[in-house]
Amino acid sequence: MSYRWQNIFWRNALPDYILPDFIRYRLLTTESTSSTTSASTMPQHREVSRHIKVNTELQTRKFCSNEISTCKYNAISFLPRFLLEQFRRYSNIFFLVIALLQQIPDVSPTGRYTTAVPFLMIMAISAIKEIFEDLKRRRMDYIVNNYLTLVLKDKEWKEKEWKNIKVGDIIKIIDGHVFPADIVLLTSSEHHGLAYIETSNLDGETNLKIRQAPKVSVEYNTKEKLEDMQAEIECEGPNKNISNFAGTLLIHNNKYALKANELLLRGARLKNTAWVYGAVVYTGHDAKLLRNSKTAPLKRSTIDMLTNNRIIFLFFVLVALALVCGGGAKIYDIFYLNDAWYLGKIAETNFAWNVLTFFILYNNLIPISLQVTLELVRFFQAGYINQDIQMYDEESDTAANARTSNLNEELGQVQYIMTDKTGTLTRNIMKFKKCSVQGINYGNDEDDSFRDGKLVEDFKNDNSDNKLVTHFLTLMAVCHTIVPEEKEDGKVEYHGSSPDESALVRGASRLGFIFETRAPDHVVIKKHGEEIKYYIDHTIDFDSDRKRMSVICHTDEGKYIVYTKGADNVILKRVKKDQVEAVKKSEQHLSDYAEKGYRTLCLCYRTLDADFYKEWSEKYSKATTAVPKDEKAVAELENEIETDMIFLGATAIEDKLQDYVPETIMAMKKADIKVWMLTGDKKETAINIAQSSALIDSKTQLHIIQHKNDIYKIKPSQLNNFTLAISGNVVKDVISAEHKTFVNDVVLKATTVVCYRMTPSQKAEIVEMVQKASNDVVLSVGDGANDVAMIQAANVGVGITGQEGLQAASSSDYSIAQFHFLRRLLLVHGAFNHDRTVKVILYSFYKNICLYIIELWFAFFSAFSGQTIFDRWTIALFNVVFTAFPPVMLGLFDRPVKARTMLEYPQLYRKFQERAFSNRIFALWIALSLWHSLLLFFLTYLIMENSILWESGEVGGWLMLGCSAYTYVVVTVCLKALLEADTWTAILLVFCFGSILSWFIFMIIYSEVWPWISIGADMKGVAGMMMSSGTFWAGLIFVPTVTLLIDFIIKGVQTSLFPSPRDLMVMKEKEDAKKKNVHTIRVRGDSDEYNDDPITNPTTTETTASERDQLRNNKIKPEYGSVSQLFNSNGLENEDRALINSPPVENGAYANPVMEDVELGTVDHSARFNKRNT
Amino acid sequence: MRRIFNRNLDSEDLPNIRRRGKKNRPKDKPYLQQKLVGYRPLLTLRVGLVVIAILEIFLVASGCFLFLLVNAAKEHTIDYTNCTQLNDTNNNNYLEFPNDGITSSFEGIETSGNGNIKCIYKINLTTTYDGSVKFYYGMNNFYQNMRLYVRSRNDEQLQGKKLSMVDDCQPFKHRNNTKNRRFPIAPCGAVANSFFNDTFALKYYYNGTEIPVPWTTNGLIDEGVKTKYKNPQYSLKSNLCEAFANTIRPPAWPQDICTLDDNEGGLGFENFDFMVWMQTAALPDFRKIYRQLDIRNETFRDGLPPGTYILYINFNYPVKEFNGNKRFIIAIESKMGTKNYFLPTIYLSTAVALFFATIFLVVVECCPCAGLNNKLRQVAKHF
Repeated sequence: MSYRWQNIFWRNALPDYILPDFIRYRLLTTESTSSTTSASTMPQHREVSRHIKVNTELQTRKFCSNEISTCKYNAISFLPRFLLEQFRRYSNIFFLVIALLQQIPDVSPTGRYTTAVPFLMIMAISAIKEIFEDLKRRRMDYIVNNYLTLVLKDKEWKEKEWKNIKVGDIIKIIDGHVFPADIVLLTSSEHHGLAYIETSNLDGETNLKIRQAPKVSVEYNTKEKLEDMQAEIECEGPNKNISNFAGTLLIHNNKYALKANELLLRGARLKNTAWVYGAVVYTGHDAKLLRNSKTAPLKRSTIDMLTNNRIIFLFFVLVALALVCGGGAKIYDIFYLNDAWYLGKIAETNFAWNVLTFFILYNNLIPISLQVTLELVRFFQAGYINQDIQMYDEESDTAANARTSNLNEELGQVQYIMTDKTGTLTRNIMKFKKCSVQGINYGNDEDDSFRDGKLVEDFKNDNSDNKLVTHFLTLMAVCHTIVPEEKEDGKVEYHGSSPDESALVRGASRLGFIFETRAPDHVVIKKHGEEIKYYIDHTIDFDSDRKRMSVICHTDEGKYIVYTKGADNVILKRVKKDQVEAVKKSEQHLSDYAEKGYRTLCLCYRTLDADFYKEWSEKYSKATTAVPKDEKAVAELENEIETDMIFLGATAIEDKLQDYVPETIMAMKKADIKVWMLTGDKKETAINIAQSSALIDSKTQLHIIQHKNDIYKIKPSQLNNFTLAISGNVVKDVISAEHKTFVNDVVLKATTVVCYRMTPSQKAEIVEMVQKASNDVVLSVGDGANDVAMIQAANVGVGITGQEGLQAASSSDYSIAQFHFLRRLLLVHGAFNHDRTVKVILYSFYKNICLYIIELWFAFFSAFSGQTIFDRWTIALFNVVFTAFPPVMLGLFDRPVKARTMLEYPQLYRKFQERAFSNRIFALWIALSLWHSLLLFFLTYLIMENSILWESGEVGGWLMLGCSAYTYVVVTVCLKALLEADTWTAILLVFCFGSILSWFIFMIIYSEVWPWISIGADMKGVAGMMMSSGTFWAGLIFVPTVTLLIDFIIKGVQTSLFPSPRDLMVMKEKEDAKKKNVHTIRVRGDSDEYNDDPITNPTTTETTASERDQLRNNKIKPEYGSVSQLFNSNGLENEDRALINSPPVENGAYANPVMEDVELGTVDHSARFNKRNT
Repeated sequence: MRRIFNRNLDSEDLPNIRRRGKKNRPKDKPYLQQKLVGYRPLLTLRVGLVVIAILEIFLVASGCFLFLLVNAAKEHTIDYTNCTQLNDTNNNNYLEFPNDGITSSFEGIETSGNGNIKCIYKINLTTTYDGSVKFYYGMNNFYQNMRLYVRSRNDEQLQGKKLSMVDDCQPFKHRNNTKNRRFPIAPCGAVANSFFNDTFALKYYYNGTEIPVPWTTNGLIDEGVKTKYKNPQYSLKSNLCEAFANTIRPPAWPQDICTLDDNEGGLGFENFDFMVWMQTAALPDFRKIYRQLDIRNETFRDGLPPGTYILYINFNYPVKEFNGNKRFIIAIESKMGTKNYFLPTIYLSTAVALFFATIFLVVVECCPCAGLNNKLRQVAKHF
C-alpha cells in the first residue's frame, strides 16, 4: 500500500509535509477584515471571475495547474537569482568591488586574484547550501504533487496524482483525506449532503465544521448521475480571502448561489463522512491556502545588526586608513623617493591610485569569512537544538526544531516572554472535576477526572418536584454546540470549539447521560439506556458580553425548557430569589474551585409556557432577521427569556498545567526575564492560571486595568513589586502615544503583566509595543493559530507543537513540544549560543585586525608604497584556511559552564547577557588586537632587523621577515583562541594546533612550487631558510608568548580579583567535582545518564538530601560559600536563597522525604501550588 | 485500492513527521548533547603564578644562553659613503662593539686613469678573527621594499627560458640599442637595473708585503633561492653572450649580463652578487653578503690573523642623491646570525618585568584584604 494513501488515510496527526515547513502560513482568518484589505491592495494580476464547465476538459480558458512548486530556483534562474540574493548583502558587494579593483594594473598590492579566489570559494559554499535546500524543497513538492485522489473520468473513478487535477474535474474524497484543491461540494454520503471537515491545517481549529451541499446538486450521488450532469460554475477569481466565496452553480438551468459554506478548501480534511463529490474550482497556486502562504518576515538577530554596524564602522576606518596612507605615500614621494634614481620613474604615482592601493591592502579589516563562519556555526548550533535529547518529548515523539538558525544567539538575549495561556501553560485538556448541585459538592481534587458515584445515586433517588439533579445532568448533555463523531470501534468522540463544553459533555456521558447524535434540529441523549430526543429550538450563543449561553429546547412531551450556563456573576443575577440557601452554599464551593485554579460555570434552567415561548419566538426571529439586525431588541429578548431561572449548581473544570510550568516560570523570573501572559480567556481564569503557574504570587499587588480610566488611577510612585492585569479592550489606549510614560513607568516595570480577552492582533500589538518601548528582545510562545501573529511579531517566536494543530509551530522560529523545554532552550542553548556567537564575531574581527594592521606598521618602513609584508597568497588564505577553524570550533564546542549549572542558577542568564556585544567590549578587543599587531610587528622587526640570521651568513630577504611575522601571527591567533575558550575539548586543541601545523605544511610546499607552477617565486626557498634559523625559533617561542601575556594577565587578574559570576560558578563546579570524588559514590541509572536538568532529574543533585535539609534550615552554611554569599548580599529574600542552594522548587513536597526522592517528577503541580497558595 | 504506488519513493524519504514510537528521539551522543569531555581552565592567581614562574625560569635560562651565543659573534663596520671627499674621516654612526678587537681608519683615495675611484681603509686587528669571517656591504635609506620596485622584475625571465618575458618590469622593459633597434632588457626591471656595483678587495699587510685575503662565495646563498636563477641554454660551441644575443643590458649597467663574473664561475644570471642583490631586502636599512674568508688557504686556515689589513673599495655606486649611505662590514656570525643583543636583552628584561609582576601577585595573594571572601563580597555588590 502506498504511503501516499496510507498517510492520508490512517493518521490522525496531520502530515506536515502537506504544508512543507519552510512555507510559513499566515492565515488571516481571525483577521478577515485586514485580509480583505490587503488582498484588494495587492497589485497582482487579477482574474475577476471565472467560468468553469464541470466534468469536461474543454474550459473557456487555461487555468493554473494543480502542481505546486515552492522551489526558489530552476536550472536557468539559479544563477541570476542566486547572485541577486547574494549581492543584497553589503559585504558581498564590498568584496566584489575589491576583486574588481584588483584587476586595475599596478594598483593592487596583492595581485589580481587574491580576493576573487577566496570570495569565489565562499560564494561556492553558499551556492551549494542553496542548491541543497532547494533540492529538499523540490523533493517535498514532488511528494505532495504525487498524492493520489479519485477523479471521475469515462464513467469511472480513476486515481490521479494531485498535480494532474484540473479545474472542472469532479473528484471523490474519502473520509480522512485532505482536499487536493479548492472544490465546490456537490454531494456527500450523508443526508442533505452534509459533510464534516476539519481545518486545523488552515486555521488551527481542531473542531469539526459542517458544510452542506447545494440543494440542486445533492441528488447527483452516483457516478452515472454525475456523468449525465451538465453543470457550470461561475465564480469570483482566485483570492486569498478564506471566509468569503461567491459564485453560481448552474445545473440543467437550475441556479444556485454558492457561498463559502459550499467550498472545501485545499488543506482541510474530510472527517466523519464516508465520501463527498466535488467540482474543482481553484487549483495549485490559485488555491486559497497557497494564496495565503507567505514567507515569514525575515528576522535578524540583534547581534547581526550590531555586527553590521561594526562592519560599517570598520569600513570607515578602512577608508580613513587608505586616505592617511595615501597622504603618507605622497609625503614620501616628495621628500624621500623623489631623488631615488633606482626607482626609475615609478615612484611618481598619483594620490587617488595610492588610496586605492591601500584600500585594497587593508580590505581584509572587514573579515571576508565572517558570514560563512557564522552561518556554519549557526547551522550546527541549530543542530544542537534539534538533537537535544532533553528537549525531546517521549509522549508525542517530538524533538525540538530550530526552523531558523539565525536567531540562535537571540535566545540568549531575551528579556520579555509573551506566553499564551491555553495549550501553552495549560494542557488544554479539560477535565470535568467537581460539581456543586443544590449546595452539595460532588467529586474531589485527587481523582484525575470526576468520579463520584453519589451523584448517580442521587439522580436515581431524585424524586423531588423539580428533579434538579436530572436537569443538571441534562443541561450538561444538551446545552452546548458539540458535534459527536462515532469512531470505527463504536466509541464516540466529541468535537467542539470549546474544550470546556466537551469536558462537560464527556462528564455527562460518564454519568450516564450520553450525547449521541446531533441533527440540524435535534439532539439525541441516551439517559441510562433510554434515548430521548431534544428538539433544539434556539441556541443563543456565548459571547464575551453575555458571558453565558442558552439552549431553548423541547421534548416530545412538548415541554419548553431554557438551559443556561455561564459565568457565576452573570448567572447568579438571573436566578429566582427564593434559593438563597443553595446559592450561598454553591458560592462557597465556587470560590473553593476558583482558588484551585478550576474553571467554573454556573448552570440554571427555566421552563416555559408553550404560549409564552411562541410569542417570544416570533418576536425573536423578527428581531434577528430584520435588516439591519436590531441588536438592541435581540439583546432585550435574550434577556427576557433568561430571567427568573432556577439555579442548578456549578461545575468545576480543570485545565491542567503543563509539566513543570511553575518551575519554569520561576526560573525565568530568576533569570530576570519578565513573563507576560496574553490570553483570549476571561479575567478570572487568566488570573487563576497566572497564580497557579507562579506568575503572580500572593505578595504582589495586583492592579487591574479594565477601563481606560484605570490607567490614570495608578500612580507610578507608589508602586513596588506589583503586577498588572490588562483587558483587551484597553490595549488600544495603552499602546497609544499619549500613554507613553505610563508604559515606561508602569507597564514595563511590573513584575508580571496578564493580558486577558486579547484578540490575536492585539497580542501582536502588545509584543510590538514592548519591543518599541523597551528596545529589548521579546520572545513569544504559543501553540495555536491565534498566536501566529504574536509569534511572527516577536524577535523570537517559539511554537509549542500541541493540541491545536501545527499552525503556531510552523510559523515559529523554534518549536518545542513542552512549555518547560523553554527553560533549556533559553538558559542553556540561548546563553551558550549567544556567548559563543559573540566570541566568534569578536575573534574574527580580532584576528583580521591583528594581521592586517601589521601592514600599516610596515608601511612606515616601506615608504608608504603599499608593499605587503606577507606574500599575497598567504594573506588570502589566512581567513579561509589557517585561522578558519578555531572560531568555528569556539562557536561549536565552547562551554562556559555546565548546562546543569545554567539551569540551577538562572541568574547566570542575565550575567551572560551583560557580556554582550557592547561597544566597550568591542573596543577592548580592538585595542587588544592593535596592541597585538604592534607587538607582533615590532618584536619581529627588532629580532630580524639585520636579516642575517644564520651562522652561514645567508641573507634573508623581504619574505624572511614577512613569513616569520606571519608565523608568529598565526601562532598567536590560534593560541588566543585557546585562551578565550572556556572549555578545552580535544577537538578544539586539534584544530588550534592543526591550524598552526597547516600553515607550516602550506609554507613548506608553497616555497617549493616555483618554478613548476608559476606562483610564489618570491617564496622560493623561504621555508627552508626560515626553519634553519635559530633566531626564528627563539622568536617563535618568545613573540606569541609575550604578545599573549597581556591577555593572560588581564584574564588572571580579572578571574581572581574581580571574578565574574560565571567564574565563581566554575570555581563551585570544580569544588563540587572534588567533593563528589571524595565523598559520594552515586549510582546513575541509564535514564539520568543524559539528563542534567535539576528539575526533571533531581536525583542527580550533587548535594545529598541531608545536606539540602541543613541548607534549607540555614543552620549550616555550605562549605564553599561563595555562591550563596553572592546571592545573599543581593538582597534576595530568604526563600529564594534557599532555592539557590537546594533544588530550585520550594514547596510542600520537600517536607516529605519520600516524595522528594521518589516522585518529584510526577507530582501534580497544580495541586502542589494550590496547596501553597491556600 | 491499496496497491503499491510509485515504488521509487520509499518511506525513508518522508520528512520528519509526528509518528508514534520513538523514531524522532535524538541520539545520545556526547557531540550531539554538548557533552564532549573537556577541561575547564580557570585562571586563578595561583595558576597564573605557576605559569609566570615557569615562564620566568625559562626566559632567564634561555636569555643567558642566548647572550652567550650572541656574545661570541664579532662585527666591525666601515662607513665609506663620503670617502671620496678627502677631508672625510671615518664618521661611523654604527653600533660598535669595542671588545671585538678591531679598528679601522681612512687612508685615502686612488684615482685611476679611467676615472675610477678607489677608497683605501686601514684595518687593525688585535685578536684573531677565527673561523669563517664574513664580509658584507650595507646601505640605508634605500627602499628596496618599495612596492613598485619590488615587483619590477620577471622571475620567468630569470629562469633563462624566455628572455623576452619582461611583463611587470616597468619602467625597464625594452630599450633601443645604439642602432635604434628595440630589445627586451635582460635582466629587466628596476631591481636588476639598480644592481650594486661597488667591489671590494682586502689585503693582509704581512712582512711588508700585501697578501690578498682569499675570498669565496661558497655556501653563502640558499640552494632553494639559487634555483630561481638560470642562464639560458647555449651549445658548447657558442658562449653565453650569444644566448643573450637578442637582449640588451639595463640602462644603468656598465657591462652586459653575460660578462658578469664573480671569479668563481658565477656567470650571467647565476652570478653570486646578482643573485644576492635580486633577493630584495625587507627594510630600507639592509646589508647583503659579499664574500667570506676562504679558509682553504694556508695563511688564513684559522681565520684572519692579527695584524694590519688594507681595504680597497671600487667606488661606483651613487647613494648621495637619496641620502643613503654605504658601508662595509667584517663580521663573525654566531649560531643566531649577526651580533644582535636584542633577543637576549628582551628575554632577560621580560623576565625581570615578570619578576616584579610575581612579587605583586604574591602580595595580592597573601594580603588578607584580597582574600577570596573579600573579593566575593566586592563582586556581590555588583551582582
